[in-house]
Amino acid sequence: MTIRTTLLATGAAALAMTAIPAFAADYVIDDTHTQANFRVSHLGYSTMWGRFNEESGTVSFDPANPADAAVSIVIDAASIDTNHGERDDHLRSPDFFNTAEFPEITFQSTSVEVTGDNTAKITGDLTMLGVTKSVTLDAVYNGMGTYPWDDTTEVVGFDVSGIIDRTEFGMMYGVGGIGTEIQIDIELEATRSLN
Amino acid sequence: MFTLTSPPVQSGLIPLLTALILVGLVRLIGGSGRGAALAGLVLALAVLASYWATFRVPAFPPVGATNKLFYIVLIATIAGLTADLVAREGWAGRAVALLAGPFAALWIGAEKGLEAPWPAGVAVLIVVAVTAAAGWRYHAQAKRSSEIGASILVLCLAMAACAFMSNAASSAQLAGGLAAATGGFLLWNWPKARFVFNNAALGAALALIGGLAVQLALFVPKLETLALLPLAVIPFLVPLGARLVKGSGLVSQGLRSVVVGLLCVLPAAAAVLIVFLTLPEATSSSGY
Repeated sequence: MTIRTTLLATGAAALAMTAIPAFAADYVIDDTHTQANFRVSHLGYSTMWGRFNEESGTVSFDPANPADAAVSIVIDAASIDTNHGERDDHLRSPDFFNTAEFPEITFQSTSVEVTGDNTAKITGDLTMLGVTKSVTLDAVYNGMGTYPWDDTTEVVGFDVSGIIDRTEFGMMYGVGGIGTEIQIDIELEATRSLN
Repeated sequence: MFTLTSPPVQSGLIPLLTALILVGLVRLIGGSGRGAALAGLVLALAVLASYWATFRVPAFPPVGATNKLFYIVLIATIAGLTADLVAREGWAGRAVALLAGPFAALWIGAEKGLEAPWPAGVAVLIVVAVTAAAGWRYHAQAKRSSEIGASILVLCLAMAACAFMSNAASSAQLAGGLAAATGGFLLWNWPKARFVFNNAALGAALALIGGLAVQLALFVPKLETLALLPLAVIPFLVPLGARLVKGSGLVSQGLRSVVVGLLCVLPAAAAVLIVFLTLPEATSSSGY
């Protein structure tokens, strides 16, 4: 092989490598730094806050190509926590989340529309009470990096928010008193090992 | 206080007044023959009105126990009405009375029962057996409408109390709605039983009772699965009224339903007590 052909082959290989798209990395949701919060009007007098304490799932994300991102979240409905035990028991009952019949709330993204430098709209299928509806949530990308004390773990963080109508999922109890629009705020961290 | 969003209105006033007013109207329009035979339909309509006031009409096909209850009651009512129009005492009526409760129990609980044969599956089978037997017995005594009404009234009040103590307010409201509708029907049938407890009424009542029993046993985490078992006795106490109070006079008739009601209070109180004693410790002491 001549020097010329070697250089041509090396150049072709380099071109081929740059043509390969960057692949999104897969992250696992870090339950200890992820919160699925919600707010709902209580009779129009105040706003009640609550959260789910147990979430799991995955995020597939490449900062160079955020439109290809994907997210899948599973929430343990029985982990609902409104800082009031009796109310939480009521929320777990068939009146609201019916956790014995429908133990999981899931979200599976179907498309991502980038709307700014670090913002996007995530559309996906939200399944709650056995009913699946397409919802669009606003996402803010907070950043990516390693922990200051652990450079073998990469972490990525997002804030995700949106509003859903609970009656669309068949949660009809208390309509007229308890708000039907639920504000959702998910603070999400996901990690992957760099080893 | 007296708005459509108030639970006492949704589960008390609406079904009570619906039953009270419409029973008279059906009797007036239908006359002493068909009108009297169909008056029981109003009990079913009052239950559906109470459901509508509490939840509105759920999407079809329904997903989840509470949403299924509306269509369960509706289907049982239509089947019962059809049987009433064809021949109340014929096989169709008996079939509705026999199958309404099991249909409700299986539609709501079969999946969970297969998933967990003990205790969920056993609870579903108990509800199927009890509601089928109760339907058979009630159908055979449909002319004793005030005594049947008294037993259903007490049964539903007990279910409402058990559900309420277990933080299942909507189940309590639905049981309360049937109690109020039965109350409205009873006001026309006490002390003298004027209108038969027809297949539409029986179908709707047994469907709601069967569905609610399974919902409470399987899907209300705070309620001990078999705590409602004493309530299974209640439908079978109706014949005791006739044995304890003889005679066909107005006083005897009135007294008989009171005696049946009082007899039913014993198992009802037992169920309420069991639910109370088996409730997990409250995680918070304040109301909300």
